[in-house]
Parts: sequence; structure tokens; C-alpha cells
Amino acid sequence: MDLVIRNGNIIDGSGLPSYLGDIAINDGRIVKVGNVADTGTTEIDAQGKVVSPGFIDPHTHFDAQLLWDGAAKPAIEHGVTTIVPGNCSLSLAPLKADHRMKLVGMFNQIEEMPFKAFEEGVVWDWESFEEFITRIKKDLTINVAPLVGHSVLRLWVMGNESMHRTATEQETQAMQALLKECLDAGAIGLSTSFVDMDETLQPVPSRYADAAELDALCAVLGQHNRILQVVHEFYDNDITVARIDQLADISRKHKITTTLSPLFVNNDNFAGVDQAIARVVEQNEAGARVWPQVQTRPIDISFTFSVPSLLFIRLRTWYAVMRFGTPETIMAAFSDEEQRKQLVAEASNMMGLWQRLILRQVKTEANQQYVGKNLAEIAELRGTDALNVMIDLSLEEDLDAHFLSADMGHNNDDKVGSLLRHPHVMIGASDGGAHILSFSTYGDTGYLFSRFVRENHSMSIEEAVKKITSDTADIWAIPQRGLLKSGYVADVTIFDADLIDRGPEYYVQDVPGDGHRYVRDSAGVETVIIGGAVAYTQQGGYTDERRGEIVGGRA
Amino acid sequence: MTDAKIIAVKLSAAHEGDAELIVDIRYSNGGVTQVPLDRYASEALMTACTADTADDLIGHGWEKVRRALQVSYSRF
Repeated sequence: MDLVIRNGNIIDGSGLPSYLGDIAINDGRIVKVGNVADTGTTEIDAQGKVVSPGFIDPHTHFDAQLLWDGAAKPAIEHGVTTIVPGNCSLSLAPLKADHRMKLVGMFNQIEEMPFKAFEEGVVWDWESFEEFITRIKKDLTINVAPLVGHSVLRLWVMGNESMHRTATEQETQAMQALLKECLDAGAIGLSTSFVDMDETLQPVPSRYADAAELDALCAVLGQHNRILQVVHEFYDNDITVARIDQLADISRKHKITTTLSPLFVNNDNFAGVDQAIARVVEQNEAGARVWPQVQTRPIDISFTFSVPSLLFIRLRTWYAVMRFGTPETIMAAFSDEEQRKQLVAEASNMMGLWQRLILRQVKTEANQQYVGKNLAEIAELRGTDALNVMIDLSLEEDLDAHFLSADMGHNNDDKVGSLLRHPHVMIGASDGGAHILSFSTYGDTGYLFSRFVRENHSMSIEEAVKKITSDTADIWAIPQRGLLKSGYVADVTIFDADLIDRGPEYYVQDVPGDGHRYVRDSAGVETVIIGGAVAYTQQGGYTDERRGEIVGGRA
Repeated sequence: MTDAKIIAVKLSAAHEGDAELIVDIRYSNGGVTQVPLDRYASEALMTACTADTADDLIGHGWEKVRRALQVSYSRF
């Protein structure tokens, strides 16, 4: 045997209760689960730890990162062994050379991937989807189930006209042929968006498609039995319900699976999400396959005083200073004794909020010591209060102090927990690899276990594992993954059930072109095995193994 | 033409990590809808309603919300 994992608490992804046992792995496959007598070339003692299938993240934007980082860091250290990039109508292929900068602009606008990262991290040596797959396969540690983006298909076929009008019949047929080519090359499905905007704040090309075009493309998905992912108008409940109906019709007509993301819990309108889920259940019971994706993490709000934030819109004096001010006048208002006194007096009854704010980022060396602390802690160190600390730090940083107000949305644990557990909901929508300059999109799996299994008991650990392994593999038709089962590919995550979590968010410079991003480390994930080889250990970090594959699609 | 009006405002966290303003609009038939406004639309609405604080928006008509959204959509 190449590898034997011994004495683990096996949670096999089926939802069945855990049990003590061993797992034998040979030639990249699981060959036995239970009691293993044979000795492995490598042996891992998993006593006291959970041994589960590797987690699958079905909504990511790691497309660009995969060109310089085949491990999609830090996804693997959070237990993720398979990612789905290419969501929201955007993939990096197929892409004609003439359209590269247009796509870079869209990635910059929608996913906050810096232009410089593309300039310095990308050698543009592909055009077709197959060439792109060949390119990223060279150095792949993580498994990739890539979607092809509808906007990109339009751009290829229609050029700049894709951003202005519906397609002709001939153009639609050309897109169908191109989609077929991408599916044959390994795309797991098609993504589209009814929401996103490009770098000029105009709708992305997919939004100019009419229903007939989408229907024609879904006919191709039906022929290949592949999935359709859409970004729907998640901020409007009525339209969300209408999109569920539209996807249900498409699903039944073409016999395909569809998924819409993200679905959020609006704390002021629980009835809205209940209505959406009720419609999903009704449609699925009538033969459709519609899967809303719900993310585990809450939504945080971040701000600086260099850009007016609506967080202050209920504070008359603050909002007036920010709304009509320039950075210089805001600095002057904060520095002026009388104005500051007035500002402090107005905001002091919200001290609880200011105390919870976290200092995320500063530019001066002197204040680096406070990064990651909340304002109550910093205030104590400085002998003042949180509100004055917020003002002082902003002055010291020329308004470039970044603050974070955590847990501001999608944060009702009972409601979110019941949604995550719902049999018609897919856990996803992490957006991994996107929004890199605004917040960290990593660690949602750890948060699922720490928050919704350990703290709130919204679901059992077995249910949670099933939700992000075999359920996801089934919905996305990713074969031979998602279960610890003899014959299956050996993608395995070993973690401590008492410790698994997401770590604190921090800012790091690891993007090509000296670029930054927000990331989180994991906690409690001890070993991650991909394709039968150890890809990551908590103690040793990433290994040199490159067993990642392009996966997915019903052959 | 409906005389739908803003009946409530609240702050919310948008998907992208910014604060956004949600206005509840009640129609003459009693129905209520929620409209999210980004920073640009909110500023335009505050100006149109000569509001100093979000609560001053209550009672204003839906046309101002529509025009404020247009400001946001058209800023490029």
C-alpha cells in the first residue's frame, strides 16, 4: 500500500454515523475502508481525528490564480480538494488574443484581481478552452472542475457586439458549437450572470442574451448532461423567485441540473428566503433540479474615511462631513476641537459598534501593532475610548486606516443554520479567489464546523461533511469523489473536530506584481490528501506533490 | 401613476462588503417592496430629498428612488 491512515474517526461522506477504522490507499485510489492489516509505505496515525472525503468548493473564481498557483492557496489548507472556477459568466477561456484586456477588465471589476497580477503573473499562451486546460494542468495540486463562462462565449463569437445586443440565430449556433467544444475539452458546465457589471459599469455580455439564446445553450448542456450556474438578482426576492421558476423550466425541458448563487438571509425579511426555498421545493418536487447555494460565513462591512460609507448615514453630522467633504476637509473636521467634540457626542451612543470594529490595515509602521485588534482593545492600550481611537487612527493614517465591522449581514445563526441544513440547499457561494482586496473568501468550510456544528448544533458533523462532499459531488456530477469508498479517488481531509475553524483575516502580499489580498489561515486541518498523495500538513505546509486533475462532467 | 412612498430605511451589508441602504416602499394597495441602494444612489436620494439623515427619507415618493438609482447606473 502506498498510504494507510490508521485509527481515524471515519466520516465517509454518506451521512452515516462515524466509526473507528483505517483507510488503505494505492495508486491514487482508496482500496479499503475498515480494518487494514497491510502496512503502508507511508502511515498516518489519525487517532482522535476525523477522516473525511476532501471538501468540494462549488463556487470559486480561482481562474487567474491557477495560472501561477496550482494549489489555489489557501484553499487546500482549509480541507478543500476540489474547486469549481469559472462562475458568474466569467472564465479565462475560450479567449481570443484581441479580447484579453477586456476580460482582464471584467475580472478586475468583478473579482478585484489587479491588472498588474495579469501583467506579471500570466503568460498568455492559450485561446481555446482545451489549450487553457492543458496550461493549468501542468502544475495542478488541487482538483479543478471548470465552468465555461457565457460572457466569454459571447465575446468570442460576437466581439464587441456581445456588449450591445442579442445574438442572431447564426451567432447563437456558433456559441452552441463553441460550448460543445468546451464541454468536450473538460468543462463541467456553463455559468451565466443576470447581475454583474464590467469595468465600465455596463452589464457583462451574458446580460444581453435573450431567453432563446440561453435556451439554445442549455440544449447543448442537456446533450452533454452538464450543469448551468447562474448569478441571479439575489438582492430582490421577487426576481429571485422568478429566476427559480425560469431555471426550473430550463431544468425540466433540457433535463439538466441548475444552480443559483448566492442566496442570503435578509435579517429584515426572513419571509423572503422562506418564499424562495418554498418555491425551490415546489419546483423540484415537480421534476426540476434547482439548487440554491448558501454561504456559511456572515457578511462584514469594511470602510475607511477616505471613501464615504453609508455606515454613517444615520449620524447627521458625520454624514454631512463625509458626504460633502474632501479628504482634507474630513481631516480638518477630525482635527478641529469643536467639530470633533460634536462628532464624538453624536456617535457616543453607538459605542458598542465602535468597540467591535476591527482595525484591518494601516500604512504606518507605528500602528502595525494594532492591526487585527478591535477598537476596544486598542482604546485600552491607548487609554482612551473606541470612538476617539477610530478618529485618532484615521488622522495618523491620513484617512487610510481600514476598519471592519464584522457580522453585519447573513448572520442570523438559527436561520442560516436551518438553511445550510435544508435538503434542497447546496452549501457554497464562497467566492474563493474573488474580492481579494475587500475581504477573505477562504475558510468557509472551517466556519461551517465551528459555528454550525460545534457552537450552534444546527447539524451533526456527519451531515456537515456530507453537505460539502458527496452532496456536492452528486449535484455537480463529479464522479468517484466525495465519499470514502473503495475504488474512489483518494481525496481525503483529516481534521480535529474540536478545533477545525477559520483563522483571523489578514492582509498579505503574495499576488504577482507585488499585489495584496486578504486571506485566512485554517485551524484544526491536519492533513490533506489529493489523488492519494499528501498535499498539505499542518506541521509541514504544502508538499511538492502535484496530483490535481481536471474533474467533472458526466462522460 | 402609483403614489408609492418610502416608509422605512435601514442599513444592510452588501455582498461586496460595503454598507448599503435598503428603503421599504409601500404601494397604494398596501404592498411593500424593498429596494437596495448603493453609496451613489443613496447620496443622490439624500440630495433629492434634501435629507440630512437617512430617516429624513421617509415619506418621499418612489420616483426619487428611481432617479437616484439612475444616477448610480449612469455614472460611467
